[in-house]
Amino acid sequence: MTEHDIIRGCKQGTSLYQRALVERYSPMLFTVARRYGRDRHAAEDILQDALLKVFRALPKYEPTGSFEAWMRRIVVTTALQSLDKSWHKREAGDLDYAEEPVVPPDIDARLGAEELLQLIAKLPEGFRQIFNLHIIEQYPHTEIAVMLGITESTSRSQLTRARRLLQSMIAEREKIRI
Amino acid sequence: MNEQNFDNQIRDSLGDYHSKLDTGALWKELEPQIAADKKRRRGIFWWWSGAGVLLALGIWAWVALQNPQPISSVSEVGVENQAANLSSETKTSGAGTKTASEEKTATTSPFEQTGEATNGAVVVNPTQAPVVETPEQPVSKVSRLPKSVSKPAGKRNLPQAAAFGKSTPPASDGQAPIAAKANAPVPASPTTGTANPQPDVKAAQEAAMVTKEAMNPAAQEGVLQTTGAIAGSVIAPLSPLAWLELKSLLNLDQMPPVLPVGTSKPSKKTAKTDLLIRPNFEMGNAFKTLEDFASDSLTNYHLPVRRESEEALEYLHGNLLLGARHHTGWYALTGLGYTSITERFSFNTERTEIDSVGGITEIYINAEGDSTFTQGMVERTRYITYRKRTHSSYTLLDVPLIAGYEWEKGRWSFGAEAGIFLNISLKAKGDVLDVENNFTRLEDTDWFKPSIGLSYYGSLRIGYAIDDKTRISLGPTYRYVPNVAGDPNSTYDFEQKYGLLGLNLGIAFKF
Repeated sequence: MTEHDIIRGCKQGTSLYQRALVERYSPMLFTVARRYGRDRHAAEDILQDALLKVFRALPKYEPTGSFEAWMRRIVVTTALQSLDKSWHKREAGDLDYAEEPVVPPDIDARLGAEELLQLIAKLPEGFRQIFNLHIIEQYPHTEIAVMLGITESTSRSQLTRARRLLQSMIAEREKIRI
Repeated sequence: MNEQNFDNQIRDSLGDYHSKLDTGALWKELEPQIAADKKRRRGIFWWWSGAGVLLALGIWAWVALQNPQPISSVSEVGVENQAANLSSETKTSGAGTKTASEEKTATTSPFEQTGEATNGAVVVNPTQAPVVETPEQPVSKVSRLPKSVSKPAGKRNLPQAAAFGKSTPPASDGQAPIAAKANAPVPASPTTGTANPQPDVKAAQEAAMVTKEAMNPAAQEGVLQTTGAIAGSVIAPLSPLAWLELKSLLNLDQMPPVLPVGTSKPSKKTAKTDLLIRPNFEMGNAFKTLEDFASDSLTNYHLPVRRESEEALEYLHGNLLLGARHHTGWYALTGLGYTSITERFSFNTERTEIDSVGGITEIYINAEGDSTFTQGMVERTRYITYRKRTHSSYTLLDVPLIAGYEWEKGRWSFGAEAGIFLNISLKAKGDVLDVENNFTRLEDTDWFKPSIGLSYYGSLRIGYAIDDKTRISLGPTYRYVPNVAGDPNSTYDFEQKYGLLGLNLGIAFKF
């Protein structure tokens, strides 16, 4: 069953193809949801809502770009809408004096994706959102600022803090291992 | 390790990572929600189809009522039917030359048949004008005779139908009707010695139907000619009983005079339908219901908070309706309306303010007990609890499609009407709590994108006619708006329903 078949079948509302879509793409989409959700449970909720939106929006889907990217965007939007937006008020001031941690150069070799996801999940909500949007989804700060209703400079500074915090968490984890 | 490398490594690690997930269980949870979604969409489709059919029917009815068939065609049908029923009389036309002459002589037939039989044709001319008819020719064609041929002259310029209406009942004893004696055209009357003296009530009724059509005040020349032709060539002598029935059916005594033949332009039947314009104003209480669109959705946990924080107050509605009212009391209206629903948003909340203020940053106490205070900027945190209270509004642009019935009693009228409103646009303005219970502006959300929805309307009405053309009406109304957020692609997962109970005041102008 090709991607084209799945899209066409879902547009027609055929249950078989809808199920195929869920089975094929939900593990990948779940990773996206996990990066934004506080925990696995929250990520499952995000994924469910996002998939419902995917099925609602599919009849209008125009295959101009990557289908996967289109679904990822829906998951990200759903996640942002369902998560706390007041983080930037509460988290301002955190890690002001954090020193730059020493991170081993080959983190992907030392840390598996699962562990990395767990560490990202430990980031404060606002940090996590900006980190994901900029580092993984590669949204520019101007766009992030609009999406989250913050200033561009806030987005930049919080990304720096998020990066430092994650690096320090990775470094801490390495210390424990050693 | 520079930032770029770090970012790349993270991206590489997570970019294509597939988390472990029980897709079967996920599908089991999703499937009923998708089915519910599909059902809801199908419902919307059917509502739209229904609305389309109603609209089409309404337009069709309105057009049909405004454009009845021209009388000439009605007359043709009627006359042809009559010709069929009374074929025996029609057949006498050939021989009827004699019969008609005899009748004229003996009973002064209402149609003075001054013509002579020529080759089976009868000259039927109450006004001495050359109206010539061939008996075998379908009677309906008479109505198409050119004016120059069929137009009566002089004081007989009155159409036969009018004169017919003023005629006296036929004498059963064979005496000529008075009208006939006065040289006025009268209808064929029962005469002594006619071939068929038995009453033919059915034929009379049918003749009456046709003649009544033709005797309508707005009837045109051609019609009247047809009537004359009928009377002259088709209508059989009637018994007194049949005549009385015919007269009562025609309501002859009250028949107004008709326009002189040949002077009126061809027109249609008298309109049985009036055009209406009815501006309305309505206000009342709004009742709001918030329901979870997908009851098992876990993201709508703030539903109770929204229910608590939002309260529908009043609504205002105005519209301008156009439509048609049939003389039977039924009417149909459509137009454009505007509805505004006001709500109060109130919510107890708290906020934290962190300021930097001048204060003691350090106290140093030495061994002797001396204290040294160091002044500096310190952080001050304040927790403020407050109640936010604002007003929100939802505005709808409506296209009402209303049908109703009105029963008139003197100047008063009583009725009921019902219909659907197409809500073609929606705007929302005000404060609301988002999914994380943070304040947000309604206009900043995509919950209420302009979308088309339906609402259902019903009203009882009592009216009073100020004059012939104007009627003021008042009545309680109820309108049910099933969901103001009709866009299935919006992120809004609630069904926001309203019941609008109010009082409607309208002024209908008839023209």
